[in-house]
Amino acid sequence: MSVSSTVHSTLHTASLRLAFAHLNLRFNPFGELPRHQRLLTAVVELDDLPRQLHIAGTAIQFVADHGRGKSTHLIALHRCFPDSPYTQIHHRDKPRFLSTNIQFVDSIENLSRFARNRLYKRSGSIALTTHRDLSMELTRAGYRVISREIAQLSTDRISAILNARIRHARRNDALPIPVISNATVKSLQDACGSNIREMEYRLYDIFQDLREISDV
Amino acid sequence: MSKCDVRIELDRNSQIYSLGDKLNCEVHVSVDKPVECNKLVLRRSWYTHGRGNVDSQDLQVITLFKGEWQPGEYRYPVAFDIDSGPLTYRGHNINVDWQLEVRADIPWSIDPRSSVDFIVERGDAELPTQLDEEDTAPGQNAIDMDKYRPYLLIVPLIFMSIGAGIGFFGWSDNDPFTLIFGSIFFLAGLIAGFFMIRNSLAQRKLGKVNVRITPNRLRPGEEAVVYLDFTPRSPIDLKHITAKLYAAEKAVSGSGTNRTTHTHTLYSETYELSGPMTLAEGMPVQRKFRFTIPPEGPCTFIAADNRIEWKLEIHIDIDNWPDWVKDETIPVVL
Repeated sequence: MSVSSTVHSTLHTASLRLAFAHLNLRFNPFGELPRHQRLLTAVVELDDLPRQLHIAGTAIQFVADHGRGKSTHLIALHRCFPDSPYTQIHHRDKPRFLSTNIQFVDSIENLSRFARNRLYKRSGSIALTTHRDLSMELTRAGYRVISREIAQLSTDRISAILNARIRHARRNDALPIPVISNATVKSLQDACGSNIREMEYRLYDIFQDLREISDV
Repeated sequence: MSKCDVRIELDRNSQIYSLGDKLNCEVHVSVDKPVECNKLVLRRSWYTHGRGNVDSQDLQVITLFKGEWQPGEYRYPVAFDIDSGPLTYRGHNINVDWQLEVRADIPWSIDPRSSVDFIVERGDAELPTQLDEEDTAPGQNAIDMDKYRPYLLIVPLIFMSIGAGIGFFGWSDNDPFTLIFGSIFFLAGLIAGFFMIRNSLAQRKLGKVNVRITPNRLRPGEEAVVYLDFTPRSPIDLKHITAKLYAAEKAVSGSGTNRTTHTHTLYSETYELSGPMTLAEGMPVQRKFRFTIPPEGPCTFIAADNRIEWKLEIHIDIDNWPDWVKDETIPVVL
């Protein structure tokens, strides 16, 4: 019996080098980062939100669609309150919240209405992310509400966010690294709107294929 | 405020080590004023980076010093045996790297830390065999799910029952939305149920299909033999029998509802084991073929959100009848 076969392979035999050393980087800057590293690359303007949150009975909500940077804002704000609990709520999670002066809650809409009301009763002040405006129910719960809509970002701001990611991955401070030009950011905005996560997804592939340090 | 700097120096500029090598390094500490150190810790760990969430594991954690440093330079030589994987890996969605990280725990101060990456490759050294007797004995290398299938079928049946119930209410109330909602539930259950019983249906005609892979654990560059046999219970027309060997990276990013799985196929090789043929009842069919894991192929790597796996998918395509399809995982070891 003869067995015929067809092969498709993307395996490479080149000798191993340190990851992304050819770009003077340690890793693909647009891959997934752990939370503490995302914090280091956050480019957000919090203005006087930390001061406001110190006032008891304040609720700060970051409102936007997926991939716009709500969590990044919340993480950056949490940096000013490292002793306060930060809870990331996933679909169907039923976390137990302790009574505390300030709570940080990421993706609060994953809690039921009942669970949210219970949380409000246990929190002096609260900072949260949500896809939809919760100011009505927060006001009803007795909070003074500050809403931050993460809306359309300028080309310069997006460029700063993306280039901060690249700088964070830098291997040797004395050598250059690739830079994302404003023209590239504009074309990304045309393709992805204000969805930064989608832009990062596309840039990941570009950096995988980048062979030398150059402007992207 | 005193200044405390830490850094690690490896004994090889290339930063490349092979399995079986010894990695020698020196941790350098430089302080300009007396400094109390709760502990100076060196970690040897692997970590992933790429599209998926980061997975990592500390393989060794060594406390090098506790106490007070007087101003000056200190050196702490350390040697590690590079005796286990995973190997350094460069892929599309997944990279696996090794690092040494040193951190000085200084009270009431930001802990000085430094890290250095290094590469672990297979090298030319003969490794002690990891294959045991069980691996070379013919046998199924996956849990036989067939015996659990009747119980698992309850899930799609529940979906179908709920869908039928909702659909009936929608139909009797003349509510198109409820009717469509119920129908979707019913169809989802039906499709899931079909895939769960597909192989059982196929075996009504094919008889029990036996697949044996020997050895059932391989190293890159090694060859395995696959035995496939069945005896049809009734006359059937086969379109073809194929086996596809493939390796894929699966990286999971995000969590909860934002969880996304990114898959990248690294290698696939399809073997045509048989073309169209007509089989009589009771006529045994036996096929034997060999496949080789490419020498440059990666080893199996399984972490929480990142995995690289080799699989062999065997597909018996029956004319006008559900096909028989089975995935066998092939562990590829160091």
